[in-house]
Amino acid sequence: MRSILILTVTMLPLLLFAQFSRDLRTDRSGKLNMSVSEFDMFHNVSDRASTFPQQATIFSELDISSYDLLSANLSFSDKDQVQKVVIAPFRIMGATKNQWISNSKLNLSLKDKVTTIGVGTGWDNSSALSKESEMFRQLCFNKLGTVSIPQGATVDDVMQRIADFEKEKLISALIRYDSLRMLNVFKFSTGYNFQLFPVLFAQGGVSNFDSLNHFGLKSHNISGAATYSYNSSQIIVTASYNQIFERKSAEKGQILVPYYGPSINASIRLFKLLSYVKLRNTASFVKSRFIPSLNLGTSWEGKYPATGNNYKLYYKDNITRTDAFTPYVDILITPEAQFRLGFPIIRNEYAGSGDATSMGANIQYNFKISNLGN
Amino acid sequence: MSLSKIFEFQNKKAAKALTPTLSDGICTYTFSCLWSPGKNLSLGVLVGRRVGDTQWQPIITNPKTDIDGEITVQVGSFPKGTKLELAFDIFPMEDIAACAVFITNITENVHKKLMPADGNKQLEKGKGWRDHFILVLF
Repeated sequence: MRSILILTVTMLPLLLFAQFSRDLRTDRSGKLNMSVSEFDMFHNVSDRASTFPQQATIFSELDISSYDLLSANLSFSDKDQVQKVVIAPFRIMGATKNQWISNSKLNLSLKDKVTTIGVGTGWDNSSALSKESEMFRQLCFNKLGTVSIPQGATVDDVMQRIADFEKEKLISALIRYDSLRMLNVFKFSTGYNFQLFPVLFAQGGVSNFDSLNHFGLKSHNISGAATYSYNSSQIIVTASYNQIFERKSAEKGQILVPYYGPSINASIRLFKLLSYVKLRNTASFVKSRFIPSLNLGTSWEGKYPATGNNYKLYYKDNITRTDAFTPYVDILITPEAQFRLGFPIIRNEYAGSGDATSMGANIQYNFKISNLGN
Repeated sequence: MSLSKIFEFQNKKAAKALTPTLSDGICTYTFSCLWSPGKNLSLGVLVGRRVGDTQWQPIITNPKTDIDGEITVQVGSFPKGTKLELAFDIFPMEDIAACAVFITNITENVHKKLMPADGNKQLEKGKGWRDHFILVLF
Protein backbone atom coordinates (compact mmCIF):
# COMPACT_ATOMS: atom_id res chain seq x y z
CA MET A 1 0.00 0.00 0.00
CA ARG A 2 2.81 2.35 0.94
CA SER A 3 4.50 1.59 -2.40
CA ILE A 4 1.37 2.55 -4.31
CA LEU A 5 1.13 5.80 -2.35
CA ILE A 6 4.75 6.72 -3.09
CA LEU A 7 4.29 5.86 -6.75
CA THR A 8 1.18 8.01 -6.93
CA VAL A 9 2.74 10.99 -5.15
CA THR A 10 5.83 10.97 -7.36
CA MET A 11 4.12 10.51 -10.69
CA LEU A 12 0.72 12.16 -10.36
CA PRO A 13 1.92 15.77 -10.82
CA LEU A 14 3.59 14.82 -14.10
CA LEU A 15 0.55 12.95 -15.32
CA LEU A 16 -1.71 15.90 -14.55
CA PHE A 17 0.63 18.44 -16.10
CA ALA A 18 1.04 16.38 -19.23
CA GLN A 19 -2.72 16.16 -19.55
CA PHE A 20 -3.39 19.88 -19.26
CA SER A 21 -0.30 21.14 -21.06
CA ARG A 22 -1.74 20.16 -24.45
CA ASP A 23 -3.71 23.42 -24.50
CA LEU A 24 -0.48 25.17 -25.47
CA ARG A 25 -0.65 23.71 -28.95
CA THR A 26 -4.28 23.32 -29.90
CA ASP A 27 -7.61 24.59 -28.73
CA ARG A 28 -10.52 22.34 -27.83
CA SER A 29 -11.66 22.02 -31.40
CA GLY A 30 -8.22 20.82 -32.38
CA LYS A 31 -7.37 24.04 -34.24
CA LEU A 32 -3.73 25.08 -34.11
CA ASN A 33 -3.11 27.91 -31.66
CA MET A 34 0.38 28.84 -32.80
CA SER A 35 1.44 31.41 -35.35
CA VAL A 36 4.34 30.87 -37.74
CA SER A 37 6.66 33.00 -35.59
CA GLU A 38 5.79 30.94 -32.55
CA PHE A 39 6.64 27.82 -34.51
CA ASP A 40 10.04 29.31 -35.25
CA MET A 41 10.53 29.78 -31.54
CA PHE A 42 9.84 26.10 -31.05
CA HIS A 43 12.17 24.96 -33.75
CA ASN A 44 14.24 22.88 -31.34
CA VAL A 45 12.99 19.44 -32.11
CA SER A 46 15.12 16.89 -30.32
CA ASP A 47 14.55 14.70 -27.36
CA ARG A 48 17.32 13.82 -24.98
CA ALA A 49 15.13 12.49 -22.19
CA SER A 50 16.29 8.99 -22.91
CA THR A 51 19.90 9.80 -23.71
CA PHE A 52 21.21 9.04 -20.24
CA PRO A 53 19.62 7.03 -17.46
CA GLN A 54 17.14 9.30 -15.72
CA GLN A 55 18.21 7.72 -12.45
CA ALA A 56 21.77 8.92 -12.29
CA THR A 57 23.59 6.98 -9.61
CA ILE A 58 22.05 4.30 -7.40
CA PHE A 59 19.52 2.94 -9.88
CA SER A 60 21.32 3.68 -13.13
CA GLU A 61 21.70 0.01 -14.01
CA LEU A 62 17.97 -0.55 -13.41
CA ASP A 63 16.80 2.45 -15.41
CA ILE A 64 14.77 1.37 -18.39
CA SER A 65 13.46 4.74 -19.57
CA SER A 66 15.20 4.72 -22.97
CA TYR A 67 12.96 5.20 -26.02
CA ASP A 68 15.69 4.79 -28.61
CA LEU A 69 16.36 1.94 -30.94
CA LEU A 70 19.54 1.31 -29.03
CA SER A 71 21.15 3.18 -26.17
CA ALA A 72 24.53 2.08 -24.87
CA ASN A 73 25.89 3.70 -21.77
CA LEU A 74 29.26 3.38 -20.07
CA SER A 75 29.77 4.95 -16.68
CA PHE A 76 33.12 5.23 -14.91
CA SER A 77 33.71 6.32 -11.34
CA ASP A 78 36.17 5.72 -8.55
CA LYS A 79 33.81 3.15 -7.00
CA ASP A 80 32.46 1.12 -9.85
CA GLN A 81 31.77 1.00 -13.55
CA VAL A 82 28.45 0.41 -15.25
CA GLN A 83 28.14 -0.99 -18.74
CA LYS A 84 24.60 -0.77 -19.94
CA VAL A 85 22.66 -1.43 -23.13
CA VAL A 86 18.96 -0.84 -23.66
CA ILE A 87 17.63 -2.10 -26.97
CA ALA A 88 14.14 -1.98 -28.49
CA PRO A 89 14.02 -5.11 -30.66
CA PHE A 90 10.63 -4.49 -32.26
CA ARG A 91 11.78 -1.13 -33.56
CA ILE A 92 14.44 -2.85 -35.59
CA MET A 93 11.79 -5.02 -37.17
CA GLY A 94 9.42 -2.05 -37.48
CA ALA A 95 6.53 -4.44 -37.88
CA THR A 96 3.99 -3.09 -35.45
CA LYS A 97 1.83 -0.04 -35.00
CA ASN A 98 1.16 -0.92 -31.37
CA GLN A 99 3.12 1.52 -29.26
CA TRP A 100 3.41 -0.75 -26.23
CA ILE A 101 5.00 -3.45 -28.40
CA SER A 102 7.11 -1.00 -30.37
CA ASN A 103 8.41 0.53 -27.12
CA SER A 104 9.19 -2.79 -25.45
CA LYS A 105 12.85 -3.04 -24.59
CA LEU A 106 15.56 -5.19 -23.12
CA ASN A 107 17.93 -3.93 -20.48
CA LEU A 108 21.34 -5.54 -20.04
CA SER A 109 23.86 -4.07 -17.66
CA LEU A 110 26.87 -4.96 -15.61
CA LYS A 111 27.83 -3.17 -12.41
CA ASP A 112 30.32 -4.33 -9.82
CA LYS A 113 30.27 -7.91 -11.22
CA VAL A 114 26.50 -8.03 -10.90
CA THR A 115 24.56 -8.71 -14.08
CA THR A 116 21.18 -7.03 -14.57
CA ILE A 117 18.68 -8.31 -17.09
CA GLY A 118 15.36 -6.62 -17.58
CA VAL A 119 12.38 -6.12 -19.81
CA GLY A 120 10.10 -3.14 -20.06
CA THR A 121 7.72 -1.19 -22.18
CA GLY A 122 6.45 2.32 -22.38
CA TRP A 123 4.16 4.90 -23.88
CA ASP A 124 5.23 8.13 -25.47
CA ASN A 125 2.88 10.81 -26.79
CA SER A 126 5.55 12.14 -29.17
CA SER A 127 5.70 8.83 -30.99
CA ALA A 128 4.61 8.96 -34.61
CA LEU A 129 2.27 6.13 -33.70
CA SER A 130 0.33 8.14 -31.12
CA LYS A 131 -3.07 9.64 -31.88
CA GLU A 132 -1.76 13.04 -30.93
CA SER A 133 0.99 12.81 -33.55
CA GLU A 134 -1.60 11.83 -36.11
CA MET A 135 -3.57 14.96 -35.24
CA PHE A 136 -0.45 17.13 -35.67
CA ARG A 137 0.29 15.44 -38.97
CA GLN A 138 -3.14 16.36 -40.25
CA LEU A 139 -2.84 19.90 -38.92
CA CYS A 140 0.54 20.52 -40.47
CA PHE A 141 0.16 18.85 -43.84
CA ASN A 142 -3.44 18.72 -44.87
CA LYS A 143 -4.03 22.40 -45.54
CA LEU A 144 -0.93 23.32 -47.48
CA GLY A 145 -2.65 23.60 -50.85
CA THR A 146 -0.83 22.51 -53.98
CA VAL A 147 1.40 23.88 -56.71
CA SER A 148 -0.04 26.38 -59.13
CA ILE A 149 0.95 25.68 -62.71
CA PRO A 150 0.35 28.21 -65.49
CA GLN A 151 -1.09 27.22 -68.83
CA GLY A 152 1.46 25.85 -71.23
CA ALA A 153 4.03 24.95 -68.58
CA THR A 154 6.65 22.47 -69.71
CA VAL A 155 7.51 19.35 -67.75
CA ASP A 156 10.69 21.04 -66.51
CA ASP A 157 8.65 24.01 -65.27
CA VAL A 158 6.29 21.67 -63.48
CA MET A 159 9.09 19.73 -61.81
CA GLN A 160 10.75 22.98 -60.72
CA ARG A 161 7.50 24.21 -59.21
CA ILE A 162 7.07 20.92 -57.39
CA ALA A 163 10.64 21.21 -56.05
CA ASP A 164 9.88 24.75 -54.84
CA PHE A 165 6.67 23.57 -53.20
CA GLU A 166 8.61 20.89 -51.36
CA LYS A 167 11.23 23.34 -50.19
CA GLU A 168 8.82 26.07 -49.12
CA LYS A 169 5.89 24.08 -47.82
CA LEU A 170 6.57 20.42 -47.20
CA ILE A 171 9.91 20.74 -45.39
CA SER A 172 8.53 23.54 -43.21
CA ALA A 173 5.48 21.42 -42.45
CA LEU A 174 7.74 18.54 -41.43
CA ILE A 175 9.69 20.78 -39.05
CA ARG A 176 6.45 22.09 -37.59
CA TYR A 177 5.14 18.59 -37.18
CA ASP A 178 8.28 17.47 -35.34
CA SER A 179 8.26 20.67 -33.28
CA LEU A 180 4.70 20.11 -32.15
CA ARG A 181 5.41 16.52 -31.26
CA MET A 182 8.37 17.58 -29.16
CA LEU A 183 6.79 20.58 -27.46
CA ASN A 184 5.12 18.82 -24.56
CA VAL A 185 6.31 15.26 -24.39
CA PHE A 186 5.07 12.86 -21.81
CA LYS A 187 6.54 9.42 -21.46
CA PHE A 188 5.77 6.57 -19.18
CA SER A 189 7.78 3.41 -18.85
CA THR A 190 7.57 0.36 -16.67
CA GLY A 191 9.78 -2.66 -16.36
CA TYR A 192 11.02 -5.63 -14.46
CA ASN A 193 14.69 -6.39 -13.78
CA PHE A 194 16.53 -9.14 -12.02
CA GLN A 195 20.14 -9.16 -10.91
CA LEU A 196 22.46 -12.12 -10.70
CA PHE A 197 25.48 -12.74 -8.53
CA PRO A 198 28.76 -13.57 -10.36
CA VAL A 199 28.41 -17.23 -9.32
CA LEU A 200 25.07 -18.57 -10.46
CA PHE A 201 25.27 -22.16 -9.21
CA ALA A 202 27.71 -23.69 -6.79
CA GLN A 203 28.44 -27.29 -5.91
CA GLY A 204 31.10 -28.69 -3.60
CA GLY A 205 31.65 -28.23 0.08
CA VAL A 206 35.30 -27.12 0.02
CA SER A 207 35.68 -23.98 2.14
CA ASN A 208 31.89 -23.77 2.29
CA PHE A 209 31.90 -22.84 -1.39
CA ASP A 210 28.35 -24.00 -1.95
CA SER A 211 26.91 -22.26 1.10
CA LEU A 212 28.77 -19.00 0.35
CA ASN A 213 27.33 -19.05 -3.16
CA HIS A 214 24.00 -20.55 -2.30
CA PHE A 215 21.91 -18.01 -4.23
CA GLY A 216 22.28 -16.94 -7.83
CA LEU A 217 19.58 -14.27 -7.71
CA LYS A 218 20.78 -11.06 -6.06
CA SER A 219 17.65 -9.02 -6.48
CA HIS A 220 14.63 -8.33 -8.58
CA ASN A 221 12.54 -5.22 -8.92
CA ILE A 222 9.64 -3.60 -10.67
CA SER A 223 9.89 0.01 -11.67
CA GLY A 224 7.91 2.81 -13.22
CA ALA A 225 9.03 6.17 -14.54
CA ALA A 226 7.14 9.19 -15.82
CA THR A 227 8.97 11.86 -17.79
CA TYR A 228 7.83 15.24 -18.97
CA SER A 229 9.97 17.23 -21.37
CA TYR A 230 9.24 20.66 -22.72
CA ASN A 231 10.22 22.13 -26.07
CA SER A 232 12.48 19.41 -27.41
CA SER A 233 13.91 18.64 -24.01
CA GLN A 234 14.77 22.18 -23.06
CA ILE A 235 13.46 21.12 -19.67
CA ILE A 236 13.10 17.53 -18.50
CA VAL A 237 11.50 16.32 -15.28
CA THR A 238 11.35 12.64 -14.39
CA ALA A 239 9.82 10.88 -11.41
CA SER A 240 10.58 7.21 -10.92
CA TYR A 241 9.85 4.53 -8.43
CA ASN A 242 11.51 1.17 -7.92
CA GLN A 243 10.25 -1.58 -5.66
CA ILE A 244 13.32 -3.66 -4.99
CA PHE A 245 13.79 -7.03 -3.34
CA GLU A 246 17.49 -7.41 -2.67
CA ARG A 247 19.74 -9.94 -1.03
CA LYS A 248 22.76 -8.82 0.98
CA SER A 249 24.97 -11.62 -0.33
CA ALA A 250 24.80 -15.03 -1.98
CA GLU A 251 25.29 -16.79 1.35
CA LYS A 252 22.85 -19.42 2.50
CA GLY A 253 20.25 -17.96 4.85
CA GLN A 254 20.12 -14.50 3.31
CA ILE A 255 16.68 -13.22 2.42
CA LEU A 256 15.35 -10.82 -0.20
CA VAL A 257 14.80 -7.59 1.70
CA PRO A 258 12.19 -5.23 0.22
CA TYR A 259 13.32 -1.65 -0.46
CA TYR A 260 11.54 1.51 -1.61
CA GLY A 261 13.40 3.38 -4.31
CA PRO A 262 11.90 6.75 -5.34
CA SER A 263 13.85 9.21 -7.46
CA ILE A 264 13.39 12.58 -9.11
CA ASN A 265 15.47 14.04 -11.90
CA ALA A 266 15.40 17.48 -13.51
CA SER A 267 17.57 19.08 -16.16
CA ILE A 268 17.65 22.12 -18.39
CA ARG A 269 19.39 22.95 -21.64
CA LEU A 270 21.78 25.82 -20.96
CA PHE A 271 22.61 26.56 -24.59
CA LYS A 272 22.80 25.02 -28.04
CA LEU A 273 26.22 24.49 -29.57
CA LEU A 274 25.04 25.43 -33.08
CA SER A 275 22.89 28.24 -34.40
CA TYR A 276 19.56 27.20 -35.86
CA VAL A 277 20.71 28.01 -39.40
CA LYS A 278 23.70 25.66 -39.07
CA LEU A 279 21.70 23.14 -37.11
CA ARG A 280 19.08 22.82 -39.84
CA ASN A 281 21.78 21.66 -42.24
CA THR A 282 23.19 18.92 -40.03
CA ALA A 283 22.28 15.37 -40.97
CA SER A 284 21.55 14.37 -37.37
CA PHE A 285 19.07 17.22 -36.96
CA VAL A 286 17.24 16.38 -40.17
CA LYS A 287 17.23 12.70 -39.28
CA SER A 288 16.43 12.64 -35.57
CA ARG A 289 16.18 16.32 -34.57
CA PHE A 290 19.31 15.97 -32.49
CA ILE A 291 20.51 19.28 -30.99
CA PRO A 292 24.13 19.57 -29.88
CA SER A 293 23.91 21.30 -26.51
CA LEU A 294 25.20 21.77 -22.99
CA ASN A 295 22.75 20.76 -20.29
CA LEU A 296 22.68 21.06 -16.54
CA GLY A 297 20.76 18.74 -14.27
CA THR A 298 20.41 17.12 -10.94
CA SER A 299 18.84 14.00 -9.57
CA TRP A 300 17.87 12.66 -6.20
CA GLU A 301 17.54 8.97 -5.49
CA GLY A 302 16.55 7.32 -2.25
CA LYS A 303 16.70 3.73 -1.13
CA TYR A 304 15.00 2.66 2.09
CA PRO A 305 14.29 -0.78 3.54
CA ALA A 306 10.58 -1.42 3.70
CA THR A 307 10.94 -3.58 6.80
CA GLY A 308 11.24 -3.04 10.50
CA ASN A 309 14.25 -3.52 12.74
CA ASN A 310 13.92 -7.30 12.64
CA TYR A 311 15.64 -7.39 9.28
CA LYS A 312 18.69 -5.27 10.15
CA LEU A 313 20.91 -8.33 9.87
CA TYR A 314 20.01 -8.64 6.22
CA TYR A 315 20.73 -5.04 5.19
CA LYS A 316 23.61 -4.71 2.80
CA ASP A 317 26.60 -3.11 4.60
CA ASN A 318 24.20 -2.41 7.49
CA ILE A 319 22.84 0.54 5.54
CA THR A 320 19.36 1.55 6.63
CA ARG A 321 18.94 4.51 4.30
CA THR A 322 20.73 5.85 1.25
CA ASP A 323 20.22 9.22 -0.40
CA ALA A 324 22.12 10.15 -3.54
CA PHE A 325 22.13 13.69 -4.82
CA THR A 326 23.81 13.97 -8.23
CA PRO A 327 24.40 17.28 -9.97
CA TYR A 328 25.58 16.69 -13.54
CA VAL A 329 26.49 18.29 -16.82
CA ASP A 330 25.45 16.64 -20.11
CA ILE A 331 27.53 17.50 -23.14
CA LEU A 332 25.77 16.41 -26.33
CA ILE A 333 27.97 16.82 -29.39
CA THR A 334 26.64 14.28 -31.87
CA PRO A 335 24.33 11.27 -31.42
CA GLU A 336 27.49 9.18 -31.24
CA ALA A 337 29.37 11.40 -28.82
CA GLN A 338 27.53 12.31 -25.67
CA PHE A 339 29.06 12.69 -22.25
CA ARG A 340 27.79 13.17 -18.75
CA LEU A 341 29.96 14.45 -15.97
CA GLY A 342 28.28 13.74 -12.65
CA PHE A 343 29.23 14.48 -9.06
CA PRO A 344 27.24 12.10 -6.89
CA ILE A 345 26.97 12.95 -3.21
CA ILE A 346 25.87 9.82 -1.37
CA ARG A 347 24.71 9.82 2.23
CA ASN A 348 24.34 6.50 4.01
CA GLU A 349 22.75 5.86 7.39
CA TYR A 350 23.98 2.74 9.17
CA ALA A 351 22.12 0.57 11.64
CA GLY A 352 23.08 1.83 15.09
CA SER A 353 26.30 3.54 13.99
CA GLY A 354 25.46 6.97 12.61
CA ASP A 355 25.82 8.08 9.03
CA ALA A 356 28.45 8.92 6.44
CA THR A 357 28.50 11.11 3.39
CA SER A 358 30.75 10.37 0.43
CA MET A 359 31.39 12.20 -2.78
CA GLY A 360 33.06 11.23 -6.02
CA ALA A 361 33.00 12.16 -9.67
CA ASN A 362 31.84 9.91 -12.42
CA ILE A 363 31.83 10.23 -16.17
CA GLN A 364 29.41 8.55 -18.51
CA TYR A 365 29.76 7.99 -22.19
CA ASN A 366 26.64 7.35 -24.16
CA PHE A 367 26.01 6.05 -27.65
CA LYS A 368 22.55 5.84 -29.06
CA ILE A 369 20.75 5.04 -32.26
CA SER A 370 17.49 6.86 -32.15
CA ASN A 371 14.62 6.66 -34.53
CA LEU A 372 12.42 9.51 -33.58
CA GLY A 373 9.80 8.50 -36.07
CA ASN A 374 8.82 5.42 -34.16
CA MET B 1 -8.02 14.74 -61.92
CA SER B 2 -10.94 17.08 -62.41
CA LEU B 3 -10.72 17.33 -66.20
CA SER B 4 -11.77 14.18 -68.05
CA LYS B 5 -12.81 13.47 -71.65
CA ILE B 6 -15.26 10.64 -72.01
CA PHE B 7 -17.44 11.74 -74.96
CA GLU B 8 -16.68 11.60 -78.64
CA PHE B 9 -18.40 13.29 -81.61
CA GLN B 10 -18.74 11.11 -84.65
CA ASN B 11 -19.11 14.08 -87.04
CA LYS B 12 -19.46 17.87 -87.14
CA LYS B 13 -23.22 17.67 -87.23
CA ALA B 14 -23.26 15.62 -84.08
CA ALA B 15 -20.92 18.12 -82.46
CA LYS B 16 -23.15 21.04 -83.40
CA ALA B 17 -26.20 19.32 -82.03
CA LEU B 18 -24.28 18.26 -78.95
CA THR B 19 -25.20 14.63 -79.46
CA PRO B 20 -22.04 12.84 -78.50
CA THR B 21 -21.44 9.15 -78.11
CA LEU B 22 -19.77 7.67 -75.12
CA SER B 23 -16.25 6.44 -75.75
CA ASP B 24 -15.69 2.72 -75.59
CA GLY B 25 -14.04 1.25 -72.55
CA ILE B 26 -14.28 4.13 -70.11
CA CYS B 27 -12.66 3.13 -66.86
CA THR B 28 -11.86 4.81 -63.58
CA TYR B 29 -8.21 4.95 -62.56
CA THR B 30 -6.47 5.47 -59.24
CA PHE B 31 -2.93 6.45 -58.32
CA SER B 32 -1.49 4.56 -55.35
CA CYS B 33 1.63 5.07 -53.35
CA LEU B 34 2.57 2.01 -51.30
CA TRP B 35 5.33 1.85 -48.71
CA SER B 36 6.46 -0.13 -45.70
CA PRO B 37 3.71 0.44 -43.08
CA GLY B 38 4.29 2.12 -39.74
CA LYS B 39 6.11 5.12 -41.18
CA ASN B 40 4.68 8.54 -41.93
CA LEU B 41 4.59 9.56 -45.56
CA SER B 42 2.95 12.37 -47.48
CA LEU B 43 1.82 12.42 -51.07
CA GLY B 44 2.78 16.07 -51.35
CA VAL B 45 1.89 16.83 -54.96
CA LEU B 46 0.10 14.98 -57.74
CA VAL B 47 -0.69 16.78 -60.97
CA GLY B 48 -1.52 15.46 -64.41
CA ARG B 49 -2.71 16.17 -67.93
CA ARG B 50 -3.72 14.29 -71.02
CA VAL B 51 -0.81 14.22 -73.42
CA GLY B 52 -1.41 17.07 -75.82
CA ASP B 53 -3.27 19.28 -73.34
CA THR B 54 -1.58 22.51 -72.34
CA GLN B 55 -3.06 22.77 -68.85
CA TRP B 56 -1.91 20.63 -65.92
CA GLN B 57 -4.63 19.74 -63.44
CA PRO B 58 -4.13 19.17 -59.73
CA ILE B 59 -5.30 15.68 -58.82
CA ILE B 60 -4.98 16.42 -55.11
CA THR B 61 -5.57 19.90 -53.74
CA ASN B 62 -3.72 19.31 -50.47
CA PRO B 63 -1.02 16.84 -49.43
CA LYS B 64 -2.32 13.49 -48.25
CA THR B 65 -0.54 11.88 -45.32
CA ASP B 66 -0.78 8.47 -43.76
CA ILE B 67 1.11 5.89 -41.77
CA ASP B 68 -0.52 2.62 -42.81
CA GLY B 69 1.46 2.03 -46.01
CA GLU B 70 -1.01 3.18 -48.65
CA ILE B 71 -2.32 6.40 -50.10
CA THR B 72 -4.70 5.98 -53.03
CA VAL B 73 -6.37 8.83 -54.87
CA GLN B 74 -8.73 8.77 -57.80
CA VAL B 75 -7.23 10.16 -60.98
CA GLY B 76 -10.45 10.14 -63.01
CA SER B 77 -12.42 8.25 -65.67
CA PHE B 78 -10.89 7.94 -69.11
CA PRO B 79 -11.25 5.84 -72.23
CA LYS B 80 -8.74 3.06 -72.44
CA GLY B 81 -5.72 4.02 -74.49
CA THR B 82 -5.72 7.63 -73.32
CA LYS B 83 -2.20 8.92 -72.77
CA LEU B 84 -1.78 10.57 -69.38
CA GLU B 85 1.20 12.44 -68.05
CA LEU B 86 1.50 12.57 -64.27
CA ALA B 87 4.00 14.32 -62.00
CA PHE B 88 4.27 13.69 -58.27
CA ASP B 89 6.21 14.45 -55.10
CA ILE B 90 6.19 11.71 -52.49
CA PHE B 91 7.54 13.27 -49.32
CA PRO B 92 8.73 10.93 -46.55
CA MET B 93 8.38 12.18 -42.99
CA GLU B 94 10.64 9.36 -41.83
CA ASP B 95 13.14 7.08 -43.51
CA ILE B 96 11.18 4.67 -45.69
CA ALA B 97 12.73 1.33 -46.59
CA ALA B 98 10.56 0.57 -49.61
CA CYS B 99 8.16 2.64 -51.68
CA ALA B 100 6.51 2.18 -55.08
CA VAL B 101 3.86 3.81 -57.27
CA PHE B 102 0.93 1.91 -58.83
CA ILE B 103 -1.91 2.78 -61.20
CA THR B 104 -5.11 0.78 -60.90
CA ASN B 105 -8.00 0.44 -63.31
CA ILE B 106 -10.62 -0.01 -60.61
CA THR B 107 -13.39 -0.64 -63.14
CA GLU B 108 -11.70 -3.81 -64.31
CA ASN B 109 -9.66 -4.42 -61.18
CA VAL B 110 -6.28 -4.40 -62.89
CA HIS B 111 -3.21 -2.70 -61.52
CA LYS B 112 0.21 -1.91 -62.83
CA LYS B 113 3.36 -0.97 -60.98
CA LEU B 114 4.76 2.13 -62.58
CA MET B 115 7.79 3.21 -60.59
CA PRO B 116 10.44 2.28 -59.86
CA ALA B 117 10.87 -0.11 -62.76
CA ASP B 118 12.84 -2.61 -60.67
CA GLY B 119 12.49 -3.27 -56.97
CA ASN B 120 11.40 -0.52 -54.61
CA LYS B 121 12.53 2.98 -53.89
CA GLN B 122 14.26 3.79 -50.60
CA LEU B 123 13.42 7.24 -49.26
CA GLU B 124 15.25 9.45 -46.81
CA LYS B 125 13.38 11.60 -44.30
CA GLY B 126 12.67 15.09 -45.66
CA LYS B 127 13.88 14.33 -49.19
CA GLY B 128 10.98 14.04 -51.59
CA TRP B 129 10.74 11.57 -54.45
CA ARG B 130 9.86 13.85 -57.36
CA ASP B 131 9.23 12.29 -60.74
CA HIS B 132 6.93 12.21 -63.74
CA PHE B 133 5.82 9.64 -66.28
CA ILE B 134 3.63 9.15 -69.33
CA LEU B 135 1.15 6.33 -69.15
CA VAL B 136 -1.09 4.72 -71.76
CA LEU B 137 -4.21 3.77 -69.84
CA PHE B 138 -4.92 0.08 -69.90
